[in-house]
Amino acid sequence: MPPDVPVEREITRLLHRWKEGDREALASLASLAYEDLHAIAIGYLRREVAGHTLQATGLVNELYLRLAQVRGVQLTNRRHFYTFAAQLMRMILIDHARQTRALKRPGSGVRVPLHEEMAWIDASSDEMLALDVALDQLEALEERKVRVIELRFFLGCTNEETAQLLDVSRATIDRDLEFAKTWLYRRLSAPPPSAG
Amino acid sequence: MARIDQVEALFHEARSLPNGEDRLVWLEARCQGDAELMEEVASLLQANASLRNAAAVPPAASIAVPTAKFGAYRAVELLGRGGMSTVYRAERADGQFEQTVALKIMAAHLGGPEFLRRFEIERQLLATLSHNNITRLLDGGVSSAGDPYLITEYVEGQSLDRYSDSRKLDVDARLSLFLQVLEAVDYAHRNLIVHRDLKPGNILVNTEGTVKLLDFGTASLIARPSDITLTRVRMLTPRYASPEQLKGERLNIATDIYSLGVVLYELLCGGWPFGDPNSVLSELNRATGDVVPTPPATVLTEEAASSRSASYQNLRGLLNGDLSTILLKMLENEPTRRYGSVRQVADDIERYRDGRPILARPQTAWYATRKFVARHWLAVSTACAAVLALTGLTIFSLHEAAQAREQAARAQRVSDFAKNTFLSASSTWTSPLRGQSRAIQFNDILDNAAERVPRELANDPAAEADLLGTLGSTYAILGNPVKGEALIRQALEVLRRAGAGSSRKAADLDAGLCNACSFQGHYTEALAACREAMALARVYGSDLSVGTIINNTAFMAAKSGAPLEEAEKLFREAAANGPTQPEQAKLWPAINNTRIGALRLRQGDLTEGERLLGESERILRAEPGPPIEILPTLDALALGARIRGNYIEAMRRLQEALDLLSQRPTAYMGSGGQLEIELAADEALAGRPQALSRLKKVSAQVRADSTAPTDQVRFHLLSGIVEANGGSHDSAERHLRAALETSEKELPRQPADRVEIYLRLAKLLAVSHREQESYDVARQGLRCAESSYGKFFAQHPFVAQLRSIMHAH
Repeated sequence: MPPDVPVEREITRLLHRWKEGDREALASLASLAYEDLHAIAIGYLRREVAGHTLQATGLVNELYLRLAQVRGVQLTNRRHFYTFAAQLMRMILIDHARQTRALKRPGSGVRVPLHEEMAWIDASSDEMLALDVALDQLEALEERKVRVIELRFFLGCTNEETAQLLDVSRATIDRDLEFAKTWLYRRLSAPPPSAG
Repeated sequence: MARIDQVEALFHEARSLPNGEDRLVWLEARCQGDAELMEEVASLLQANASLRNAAAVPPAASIAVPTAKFGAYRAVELLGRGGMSTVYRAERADGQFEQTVALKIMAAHLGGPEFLRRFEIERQLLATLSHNNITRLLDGGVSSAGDPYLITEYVEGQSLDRYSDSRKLDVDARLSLFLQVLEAVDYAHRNLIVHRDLKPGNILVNTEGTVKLLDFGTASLIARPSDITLTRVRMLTPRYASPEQLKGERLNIATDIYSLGVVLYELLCGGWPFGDPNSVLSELNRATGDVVPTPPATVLTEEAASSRSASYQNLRGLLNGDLSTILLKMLENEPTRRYGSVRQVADDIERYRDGRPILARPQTAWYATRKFVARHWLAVSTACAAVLALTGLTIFSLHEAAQAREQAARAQRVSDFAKNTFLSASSTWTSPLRGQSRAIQFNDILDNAAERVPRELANDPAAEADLLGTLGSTYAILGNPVKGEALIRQALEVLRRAGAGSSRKAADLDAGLCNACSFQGHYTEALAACREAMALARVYGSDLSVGTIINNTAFMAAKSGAPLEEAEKLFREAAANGPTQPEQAKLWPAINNTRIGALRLRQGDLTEGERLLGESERILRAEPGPPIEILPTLDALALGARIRGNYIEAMRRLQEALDLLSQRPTAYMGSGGQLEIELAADEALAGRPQALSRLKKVSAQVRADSTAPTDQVRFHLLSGIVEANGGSHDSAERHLRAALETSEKELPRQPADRVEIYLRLAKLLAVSHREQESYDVARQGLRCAESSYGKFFAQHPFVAQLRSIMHAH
């Protein structure tokens, strides 16, 4: 299909504004990226994507390239871009879970693990909504851990890549992941009466 | 320390305790009575233990085999899943006869009409393919449950990599399998089908060792450029995808060659050429062409060597040579740098196996050059502009001398870089460019830049036009004026579309167009471009001075057959409008006086012509060097000397010009031959025997340089002189008559130049004892001289000679 010219132009404009520090522009960018990311998220939930693991990164790359090919836009902050995409992906999956619940659709009976390392979370059910809440709580305690989880499990980055994107050592990421997963697991398997 | 940090620190510490140690005891000691802290960490440790159990549960879900009917077949067993389809082993449902087939059920909900269209294409494609190494299509349609499906031949086998590893096949056996793959892909390509998803999983080897290619699921018709699929839901396998594929660009057979390159790379050395194959971020780097494949020998491991039945050392040695060259050529980032066809890859592999030299060349030099250009392409283009400036000068005039020289030095450095890269490389391999001129090597660099400009500057017409123009001018100078002209016209079109067709920039481009046309000998078009440039420059100004453009216009006017007086008038106007910068202004009178002087000589005014040329020479010789701008002066001085019969002096002048030219070879392109043929004529007139061989050496080149009438007339006149004095009277006559005819027909408004032709022809006829004809021609010559030399007629040496021929009769 031919490139979507108006959208390209819009992306360019938003990127310029984003470059100049306009956070709103980033939010608008999100809406443009949403469609693409949504497609891969849904495909994943239907288990149509080879490998059975969520890997939105490829699509994000594609989006990124489309932006980078536009003249004058140098996405110097690639890190920012991926982090943003990972958050967006989380949003999409949560939205989807919420909609499924609202429509009271009968589940397919097939569990879709969020990630092989997070096999105890069914990405297409209420468990996702609980995870979302837990992530917000964890974020209040330590923001980076949530970014790590998002990049690793919502976008499909490897540990190495996550380390690279967050500019910390691989060992730190390994430890962050171990701790965050444990923390989330405990919260979700036996939610305490009060948050903290 | 924040509470959470404390908790985390203890958590990690506790986990790293050696097995057997009682963590709770350890924890209690560390928490020093902080019961809440201890409770928190303990609960996390406990959660961690059960998490490990939870994670150990395999992500379940074996999916039930569908019960629908697929034509005459029913699914039996799940074989695999892809992004777009699920594959089953299937059997005939009607029990008519036993046949095992592969059933591929497409994920219909992915697509809608677009998907169904693609599915239909795939069916048709597969139906046309009949090759021993490609799985055969048996049937296809829509199932009773509404899912589109295909039935293909069932292959009992292993994927290419597993088959090879499990049998510990050596390199030769692996190459032999790979050649089967190539044969299949080549067959598909010849049927206009690109696979687009070649990977080991799609290449099976059956129990008889026959390769079977599967899954033309993403195949496309090469012949249909409109069929570009931007991946909404990704269908490709990034690990084997080409950069252009990752970028979502248009695909062709080069894409398959790249994927085959990755497959072969892994097959031979066991590693992936781009670092960590699981890294999806590296995709982006590959897409942008920032990544160069690692030489295969360096990723080889002991283990990989042993599964190839080779010692590490031996295999490493093998992978360092031609195999590496073949692989890296397949893995070029730019599609055009890869092999041109799968057949060529196969040929090279066969050459390698036969111990014959392969055709691919190691790419190191190219990588280096292209990397350099990629990083510095703007600088390269600018430097090219400098080359333009320099050559422009030698042919027309000087402008911005100081700057031009500085830029020329930069151009030289860039060009040296390229040259050195090739030279250093050619000590170990045969350069594909060996034997060709340096200009062509430079063109390769330009090609890279020319390709990038429209892509990278599409949103900035001014910049795009600027660089296209610069590149065009540079091509023109470096021996490809046709491409140069096309690029400059493209640049003008960009400006026009952007509504800037009348602008300063357009003036500059027209000036460049003038050069490009003139290098092809298309002086009339060149003149039109110059006039356009002049008109625009008067209104909008120009990067060149108005005088420079007028100077070019005057030169073109003379070349395209305008009356010499008219050209002279323009040169005088140019002289008065020269550059203002002192450094440039200094040489300006010399440059214009050279042109005016030459025109005076051609119109018979030897005194004024020689005075002006002498003045130019004095100014130019006062400069260190002397500057390259002295070339046209020397050329004109030689003309004056020849008219006066001072052939030795003419030879000396021309020899100096040629020596100068050989020291600065990038400048004054295409004119070396002209100078040399003039030298040959003077040598002939001076009775030197080498004249004929010199003519032979350059005549083909000079004829090829330009088909413009002025240049042809000159060529035939000078050739005629040489042949006549070498004794080949017939050939000499043919040349001289051709000169005369062309001049009369094509250049009727420049009669003065015919005087010498009549003179040489009359002399030739005289020595051939064709007295009457000689007399007639001499008389015609006199008449021509009378009307075109005016008051200089009486004293002109040619006139004296023509008269003596007539008197002798």
